[in-house]
Amino acid sequence: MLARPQPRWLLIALAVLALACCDFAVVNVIHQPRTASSFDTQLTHVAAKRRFTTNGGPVVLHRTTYDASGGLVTITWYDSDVEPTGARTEAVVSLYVDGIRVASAIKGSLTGTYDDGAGVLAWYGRLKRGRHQILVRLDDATGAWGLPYTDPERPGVDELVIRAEGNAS
Amino acid sequence: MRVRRGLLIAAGCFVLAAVIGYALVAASWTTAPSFVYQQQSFRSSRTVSTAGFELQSSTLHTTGGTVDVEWYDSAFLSRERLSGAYVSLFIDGRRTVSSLRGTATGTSEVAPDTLVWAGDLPAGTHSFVVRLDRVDGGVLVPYVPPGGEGVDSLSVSQ
Repeated sequence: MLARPQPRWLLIALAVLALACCDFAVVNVIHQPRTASSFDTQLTHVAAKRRFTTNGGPVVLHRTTYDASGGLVTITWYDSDVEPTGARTEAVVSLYVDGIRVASAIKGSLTGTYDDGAGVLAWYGRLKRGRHQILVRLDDATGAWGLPYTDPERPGVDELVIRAEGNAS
Repeated sequence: MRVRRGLLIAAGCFVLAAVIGYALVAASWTTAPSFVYQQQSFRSSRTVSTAGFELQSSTLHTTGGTVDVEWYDSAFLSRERLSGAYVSLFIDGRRTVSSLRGTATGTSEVAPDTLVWAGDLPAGTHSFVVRLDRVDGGVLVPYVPPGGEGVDSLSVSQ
């Protein structure tokens, strides 16, 4: 015949569980580790040559909604090969956060195609908790620009990476 | 006697709760990001004239999810005019992304160079290798002026 569990032992077990949960909660609040959820990324992989002009107005390269937990973030736009196609030209790529231009990168070319290379635009700042509209745009360009230029056997990339820096605040 | 027994039970509860709490916290910390960062310093220029030269390599154990890879060189210089050089990132032996750098005039167009990639990788140990994939007339990676110091680095983080 099985002995019925005593209510006192049930109470003790519940107390242990409650204390353990308190431990867990307190330690996680005090020492909040950066988890994978604080890293958001949007990628555009381009296998073929892609060329843009701004004759018809600015060209959107990336647009995303970022759900920030509040705190410092780094937003990086990277292109593996920004390629001018003409001499004495320039291209302006801008980053907009909630419709406000917060940074621009300018690449100029004296001779044309051979002035190509990686393009980077990085911004570091504080975002309030909540949803934010992130936009990267080719705002102005003289002539056509490869974004990116790629060889058929070598994959290029044009990407936007948004990364929360450390703990939310 | 009853008070002593009550105190013993309370102490036992506290110890047991601490052990369970520690186990829960330790389990949650396994999702914390992992990373590797390595940097080489140079007192003189490193000249590379053969494609396939390995610039950086590393391995990282990931728990699955988004991984951020960045290679950086403080001064990339092509020695030949009207030439180009590819730097490629290989993840687990597969060419994942390549960055091209051209030069019209050659040595006067020295500048920092970088290769950035972010994407999802499954849980496990992964290898990350950065190679010069094409070197038309040879490159200096990094170029280091007399008395100066250059760096070449790779960072991988989850």
